[in-house]
Amino acid sequence: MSVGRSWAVVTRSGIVDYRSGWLLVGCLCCLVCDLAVAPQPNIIGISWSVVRLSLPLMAVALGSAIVIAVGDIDLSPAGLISLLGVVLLVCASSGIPAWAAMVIVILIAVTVGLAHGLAVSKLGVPPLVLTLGSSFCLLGVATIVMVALQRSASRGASSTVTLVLPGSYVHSWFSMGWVWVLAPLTFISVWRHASHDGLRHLAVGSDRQAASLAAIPVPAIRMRAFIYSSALVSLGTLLLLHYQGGGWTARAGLGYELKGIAAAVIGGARISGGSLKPINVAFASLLLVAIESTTITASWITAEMQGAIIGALVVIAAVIDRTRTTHE
Amino acid sequence: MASNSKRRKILTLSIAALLVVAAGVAIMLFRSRDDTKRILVVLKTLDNPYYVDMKLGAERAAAELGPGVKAIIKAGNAEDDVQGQTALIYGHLDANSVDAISIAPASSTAMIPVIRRANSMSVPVIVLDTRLDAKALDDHGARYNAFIGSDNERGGELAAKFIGKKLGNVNKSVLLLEGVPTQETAITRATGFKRVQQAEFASWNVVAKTANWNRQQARQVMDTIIATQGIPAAVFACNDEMALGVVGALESAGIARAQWPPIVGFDATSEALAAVKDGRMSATVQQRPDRMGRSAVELAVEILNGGSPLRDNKIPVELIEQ
Amino acid sequence: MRPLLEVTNLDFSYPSTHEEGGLVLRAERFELSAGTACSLRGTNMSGKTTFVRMVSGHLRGTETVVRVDGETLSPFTPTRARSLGVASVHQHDPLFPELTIWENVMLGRPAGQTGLQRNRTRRGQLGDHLSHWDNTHIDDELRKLSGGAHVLVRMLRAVLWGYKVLLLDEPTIGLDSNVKARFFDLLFSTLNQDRAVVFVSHIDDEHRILANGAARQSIKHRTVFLRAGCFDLTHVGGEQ
Repeated sequence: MSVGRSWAVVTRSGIVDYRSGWLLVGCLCCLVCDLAVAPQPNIIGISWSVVRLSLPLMAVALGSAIVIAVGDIDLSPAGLISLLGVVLLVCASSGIPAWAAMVIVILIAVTVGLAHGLAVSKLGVPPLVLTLGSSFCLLGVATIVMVALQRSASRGASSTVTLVLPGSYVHSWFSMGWVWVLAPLTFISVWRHASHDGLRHLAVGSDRQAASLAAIPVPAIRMRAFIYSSALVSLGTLLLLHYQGGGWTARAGLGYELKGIAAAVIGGARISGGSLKPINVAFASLLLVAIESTTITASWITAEMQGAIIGALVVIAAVIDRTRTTHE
Repeated sequence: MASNSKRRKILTLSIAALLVVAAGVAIMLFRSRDDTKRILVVLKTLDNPYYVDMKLGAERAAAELGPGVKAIIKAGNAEDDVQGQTALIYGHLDANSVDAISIAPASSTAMIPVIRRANSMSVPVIVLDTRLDAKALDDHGARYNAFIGSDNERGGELAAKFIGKKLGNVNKSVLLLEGVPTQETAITRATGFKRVQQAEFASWNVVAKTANWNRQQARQVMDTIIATQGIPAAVFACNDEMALGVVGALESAGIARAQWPPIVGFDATSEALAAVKDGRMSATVQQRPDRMGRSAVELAVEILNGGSPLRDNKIPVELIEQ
Repeated sequence: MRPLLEVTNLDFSYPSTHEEGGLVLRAERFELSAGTACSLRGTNMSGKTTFVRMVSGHLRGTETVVRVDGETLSPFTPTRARSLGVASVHQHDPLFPELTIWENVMLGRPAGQTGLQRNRTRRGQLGDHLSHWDNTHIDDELRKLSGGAHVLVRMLRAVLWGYKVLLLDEPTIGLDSNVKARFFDLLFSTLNQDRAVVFVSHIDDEHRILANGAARQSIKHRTVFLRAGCFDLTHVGGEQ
């Protein structure tokens, strides 16, 4: 049966597997629930909305997944997203053109990632503590700058100070948001499945001692993982901004780091490291956002229940992973 | 054999997918469309009893208006949860599932692009409680159909006058606890308070801090102030949640009631009214959140029915003292 | 004819034994020519593993020089040794259980051997080798294999990319007879006149198997004894 054989080839290559199928079925379920619950269902509208909001999450989740695959963890997206958004506001208020602001944002993110990476690999600071502290730090800085912006805006000090990003920022580059995620997704998939460097990242995550013995440059690889993660977070911020339509607060990123990790785990990343399936991470992000959207349209589900549902999913995914590994 | 288990897995997956699709098709075929007017009411957070009162008002109004009107009442996770409100509104707009939106915005500026989206879909927007920033609205080409809120400036003025009656124009420190700095209500209440203070009680030493409308944060701020600067001579908290946080701080510090400063809140939630009655708080500025909730639904229905209500609806406030 | 492997100034001591005044390994010279299978024998702690680690680039004596086919091992690192053609199989060589068999073998690739086409050939070869085992596919995760089979994967990781000198340090520990047979089959299938093998084992039987197998392929067999850190090059049952 040639369909079976092609399926075998596809699953053998490791790019998609049964989990991908189940994740997509989950998304379908959410769509059906939406139909049942929404008063005047608009499938195209709902699906499009889910895809659009899942894009920023996909970016952040891919970053989280890469760091988890190397055996570390990155909790900084909350603070980093907030800070990058505020930086964009400052750029807009200073009349800097959109493309330059984007470059600045990416550079700042890469610098933060580099700082994390160096601290973890050279100084041996535990990543959990480091990125958590860093997140609070960045959040604080974002709040300070945001308040300063607000003060000068309300005092009418300058007519250009804006607390909402102008159209040139929001629309220019990201109306084709899916391209901006598809490209990194493809790149990361190729890197993971077909490159030696991707393989070495997984080896480091699988067994750091063994990797070191096998002459793999462990500190360099750990550092790179943090840089990739923060760069992806900057992409996620730009996409989030587009989705928001340009409105921002200093606490915009709160909770995103956990959602990113949840998507990574549901997408099959093992917390102990050594496992990364970018397509599944993307599907898991889609699923998480689909669930969020379903719980939104169902008027009887509150925000707390929504959190509980997502939390339950993460636990279920972790348990499934655990039972599969102990069976083998 | 390996291929058997593989086959089983593929089969399970396909069957699950088919079932789901079948369910979807069934629902699509058998559902009926109706003419109910659906009003999405988006509040800041349901942690604050002020908004719970608003919700009840909206629910009652919808019930009274009969089966043709449905109020969908949601809220964010915190007083400034812009992301949450945005997701709610976009979700419903994309699903095309609401006819009008009434919103108490979590930010007077950041919510404007969302409003603009509603404008582009011809969904009427009613703003509750907190105004949107006029200049930002202009800059981004967004508009709203009606506003209903309290006269917040007047409320701040009343609070200042009340404290002035108690203290007089003396050189003592007065704690002003403000709300979320981006929200118009925070700005106007503080402005009203400061205007009266500067005009009539210029000797006061006003210590202004923000606790973001939150009881816990207000408590922490008060704890710190008691520890570092001593008990202020009077406290004006721009909402009752923060005022109750101040009360909590004084209680847990074990300070005798006789030494408590006069505490003025804003909102007149039931808990605050009880506190005013037994003397823990001195006064609170009464808003009518339930009236706002009602108007949220009634104005929306009026617009959907083709009417054009007053654009600016201010609800007068009064000071409730012991 | 130039020897395939030349090691000179093999003086090496571990810090602790030096204090006691005892050198672990001392020899002026060790040579191995192409087309030779060398059995390295000796009692416990006689320095066999140390010797193997030195040739593979993991340990270095102060003045040691290793030359493979005329090229000096410099910088003295395992990575450089591998790219010169020295492959080693040691029971503590790192393996990654969560990665697939193919990925583990890929990690053993010497620097400089890139290229999709070559990879595809190797995948095919790996698949051929594995086809003798039931139920295993090269894209299965390594932890699905039993511990004994891990040794075979280490062996495959060493030989699949080609080698000039193969160092086997007690490779058959913990293997049952079935797997052991497969191990030797694999070893003999890779031996030829351009290569050399150094085989360390404390089991006499295995050296006999090595000798017989070498003879079948017209490969010379040689036995070297290590006694207390010094090479005893009296020849027993072999020829050089």
